[in-house]
Amino acid sequence: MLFFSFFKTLVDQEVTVELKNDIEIKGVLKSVDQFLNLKLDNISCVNEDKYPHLKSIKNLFIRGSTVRYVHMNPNSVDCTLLQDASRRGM
Amino acid sequence: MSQSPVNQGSAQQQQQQQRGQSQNQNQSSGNQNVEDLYLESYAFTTAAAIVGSVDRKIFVSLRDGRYLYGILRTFDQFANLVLQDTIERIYLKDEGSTKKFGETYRGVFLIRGENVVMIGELDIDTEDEHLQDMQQISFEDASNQIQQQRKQRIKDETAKSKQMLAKGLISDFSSTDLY
Repeated sequence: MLFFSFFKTLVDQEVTVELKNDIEIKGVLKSVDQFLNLKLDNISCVNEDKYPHLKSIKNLFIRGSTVRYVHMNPNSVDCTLLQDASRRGM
Repeated sequence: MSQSPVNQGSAQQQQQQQRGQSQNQNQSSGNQNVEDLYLESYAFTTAAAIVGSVDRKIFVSLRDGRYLYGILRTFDQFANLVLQDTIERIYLKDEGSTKKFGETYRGVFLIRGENVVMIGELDIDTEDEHLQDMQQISFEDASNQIQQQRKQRIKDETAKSKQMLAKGLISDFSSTDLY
């Protein structure tokens, strides 16, 4: 639940999601659920010429199991709070 | 006497309804509204994220590498989906300068959620734009070519996994994950 709560604090911020097939998608995080499925708005693909079919897509629901990394602005992460929360075993 | 509480009750309900309506109007446009309401009450479920795409044209990427385009009719919390008037499209990469694609009509699709990689809502004004600088070939040809590419990839990846394993590393490649 810790990471679910953590991702909820990132809602409405811009993140870049890297999938296991190397697609990188930048977009505004709109929602997250307990499987860490992500929903992004206003998406743009970082390596777009390789994946042209993503150009006409407005928003994207990504299944959590296919995500490799989520990149985010370091300013939006409160590390001390996160550490405290992990020690409490939330 | 017995009627008055009932009347009060219904009056309160009406007021509440009115309040609800005015709150709805304060928020942005119609469809966004429905989505927001769902997001609030079902923040824990996959359902909230997909509900806004119902009855719209969507794109689905599957774990076996398929791309499906169709109208989303219903779904559940596992992202099991029902698509109507589905088209399957194959994009061929690294084929010289002009890229190629092939497509075929598939009709109704029921997709088990575990096979979904991503779901995107299509902008119907620009959905065909990227196809204009591609060459359309028959679906059979595209299908044969992509099968060959996948076979080659499975071969390459299994060889790579073996080499990695010999050095004590684990590769996360699985032949069911070809997206």
